[in-house]
Amino acid sequence: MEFLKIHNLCKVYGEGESQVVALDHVSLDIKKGEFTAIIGASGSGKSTLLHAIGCVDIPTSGKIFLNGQDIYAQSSVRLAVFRRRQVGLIYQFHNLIPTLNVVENITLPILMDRRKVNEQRLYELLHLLGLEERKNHLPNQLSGGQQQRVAIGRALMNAPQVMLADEPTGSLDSKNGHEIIKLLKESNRIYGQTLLLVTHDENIALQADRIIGISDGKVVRDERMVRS
Amino acid sequence: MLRNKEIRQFACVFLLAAAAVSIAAYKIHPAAGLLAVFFAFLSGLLFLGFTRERYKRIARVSEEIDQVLHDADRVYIAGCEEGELSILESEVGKMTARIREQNSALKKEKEHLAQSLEDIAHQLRTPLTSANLILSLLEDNPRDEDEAELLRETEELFAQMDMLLTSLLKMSRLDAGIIIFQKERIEVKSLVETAIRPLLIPMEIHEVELTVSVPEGIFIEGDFEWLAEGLRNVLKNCMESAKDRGRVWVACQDNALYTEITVRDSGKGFKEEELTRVFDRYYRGKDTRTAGFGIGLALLRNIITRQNGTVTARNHPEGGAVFTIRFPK
Repeated sequence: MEFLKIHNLCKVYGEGESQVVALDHVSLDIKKGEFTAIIGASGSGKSTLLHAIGCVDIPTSGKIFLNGQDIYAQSSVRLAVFRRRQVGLIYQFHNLIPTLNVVENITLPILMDRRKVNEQRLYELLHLLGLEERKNHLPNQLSGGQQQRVAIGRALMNAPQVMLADEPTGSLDSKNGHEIIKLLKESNRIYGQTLLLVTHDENIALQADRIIGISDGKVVRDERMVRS
Repeated sequence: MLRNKEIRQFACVFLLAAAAVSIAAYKIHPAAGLLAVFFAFLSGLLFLGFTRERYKRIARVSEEIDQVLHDADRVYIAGCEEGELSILESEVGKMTARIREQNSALKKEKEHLAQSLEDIAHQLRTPLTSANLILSLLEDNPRDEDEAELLRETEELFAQMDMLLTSLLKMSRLDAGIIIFQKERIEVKSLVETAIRPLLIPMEIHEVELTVSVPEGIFIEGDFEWLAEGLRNVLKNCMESAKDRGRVWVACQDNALYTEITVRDSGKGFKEEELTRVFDRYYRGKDTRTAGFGIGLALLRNIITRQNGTVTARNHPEGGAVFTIRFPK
């Protein structure tokens, strides 16, 4: 059964003459554990799509089913809780809370659930991300690449069912960007999470299992990469 | 609810406290005492009521886990609220999703492995067939009796290799779960006869005496071809243990609980330490002169167990090995 089912999703901003159709009846099926890249030019609607899936932005119409659950059939409070537990989000900038250190940022979703942090998992994660030395630093003491790693750590800590990354390498140089994508791919492989990555860079998109192209709010391309 | 230890403990403590407070209140004023009793009663009821709801919710989580684990299509829906129960539901949902995923990955790996084995086996067959052909050409004109003997031995070895390949293939297919067994009504007598048929000539050559006591009219349910194959493997094993001028017995017993087929030989039987390993895949027994291959019995066990039967091996009190195949009703 499909893990993520998007059905006739529409997002319209504004009204009348100045109406902007960001998403135009988008329908997609995504399998669990798949690494999917969503590629498109600026303004094509790809970020809007990601935000709709990540329960950050409510669509105008259409439905999204995650693991069989109709995401938007819930109140915004429940949506927030859902997002905290089931979704990991990574943005291009400003992922971290500036007043919390690395460990606190990573364990944020768990702390918000008032749960005890699994120390072993935390240290495994810090090791995977190469952040052991900097675990008590504040975000402004970290480089861009390191900040993105912390963001990935936070997205992984709660073992969410789906990871959404919106141009995670946009503000990084190519070497760092490469590393980040490698990390994401590895966690996709190790933890078996479904990973959706939005990018405008074709090279990055080629690393995914499946590429979906969006243009003017519509799906124009849907290819599966065949790898041995 | 009283079966939960914490509820029993609570009930005891609460009743004691309520009694103490009520008596104290009564001493102050009878009406106060009555009020205290009433209030204790009310709060007890309320608490138990809320607790019962919570337990019901926990029970629902257990039920849902059970359903999800056993039904491939069902997905665990977690409530999205603050609080411990909701977090529990959410974590359980993640866990069951992960388990299901691992199961399907495992299944895919098994199928992949079976496919690889099949490819290897097919590839091995090609040179084997060619070798066989060359061998038969050589056998037409042997230089002398010694050479003819060597050629005959080689032919036998090739035949064994071929048989091993076939068994390996079957084994891997069974393991991967690709085989679907038929469910037919089988008469045991005809099953035994079919299993024995290809072995009759070798038995004659080695002067092995075969006694079959299988009454007519006994039926079991299963896949005829595969069961005949399994039975043949056992018979072959026993025939080889019995050696020249040995004996093999096949019998069938039927009662209200099960149908049982026993195969016995007059050979040396098993050593104590061998008994647990007889059905292991490549175990050949301490006596390496036996030409049998360890895979025959492993195949048998696989076939029988997958059709809900059991097979055991032990030593007969009068000597020799006994294999018991049992199908419960």
